[in-house]
Amino acid sequence: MVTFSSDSPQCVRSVNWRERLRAAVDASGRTQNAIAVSAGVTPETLSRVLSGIHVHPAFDTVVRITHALGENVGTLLDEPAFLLDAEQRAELRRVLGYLAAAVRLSPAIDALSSANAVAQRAADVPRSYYLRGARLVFQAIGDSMIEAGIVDGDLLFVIPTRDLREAAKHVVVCRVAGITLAKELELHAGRIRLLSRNERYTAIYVDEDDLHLIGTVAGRLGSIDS
Amino acid sequence: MSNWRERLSESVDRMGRRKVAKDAGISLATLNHILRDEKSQPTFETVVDITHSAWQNVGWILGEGRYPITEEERARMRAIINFLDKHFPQLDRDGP
Repeated sequence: MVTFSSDSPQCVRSVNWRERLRAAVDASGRTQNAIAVSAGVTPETLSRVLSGIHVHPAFDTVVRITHALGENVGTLLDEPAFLLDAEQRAELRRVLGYLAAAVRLSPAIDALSSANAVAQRAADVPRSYYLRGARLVFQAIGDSMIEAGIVDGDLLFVIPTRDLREAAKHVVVCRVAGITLAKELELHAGRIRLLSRNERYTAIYVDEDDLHLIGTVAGRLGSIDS
Repeated sequence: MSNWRERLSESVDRMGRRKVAKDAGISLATLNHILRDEKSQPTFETVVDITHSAWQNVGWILGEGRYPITEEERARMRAIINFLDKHFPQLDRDGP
């Protein structure tokens, strides 16, 4: 019998596959000769495997006997299993992949739930920022960047870039888990750190694959400036 | 049954051959021989030990109709359950 420890991924095995095989032979109602013929082994070999005289039978031999009985080796070994068809298996794999990715992102999602976002706006870029390369306009929401001089409602003029190194140490606009943010970007110990400029907000750590960099903030224009 | 070596090789290579050989209690040379040589006749228990050391199920490497849950999948499911328990404690886990 194969058992799987709940704490350890390692399998702990106490073999009684032979008993299960004997039970399958009995349950089949077939003679050992007939089973041996189906399995492509001699009756003597089958008998020796079942009785344990053949202490270490070949893998292929046990598999052939098991399959000749219409049984699964997985069942013989008491391996945990679902009875799923191919389409269901594919669906389960997709769900597992999706949920595992969500769990992997969970620290960022936790932080995002309290972070402030930005929203893209159709507005003109002032000439001074346009000459510096700014082509996109976003509007700040909230106060997470207040110490960088960015307050709720400010327009942010953004220079498009995908280059993380170029953007490091700058206030950037980026997308994480579907939310667009304005944060200071740091490359820290091989990871990306998105910093707020307000002590009430914690840093967000993300992997490069989970971050979509939109650009660096060239300047801002607030309601008091306009 | 013909491609069990291929499936086993993939699983073993993901874990690392040296580690799997050690966990299965066989030499690296023996493991390589079993995986490479289709004419080799490893014992049932040796293949079971290798497969389980690679966190895989024998039923899966044989392509049997039932779908064994691999240890990797179990670990992922446990992580998902822990996450859901932590973030959604109010959920009715038994469903509607």
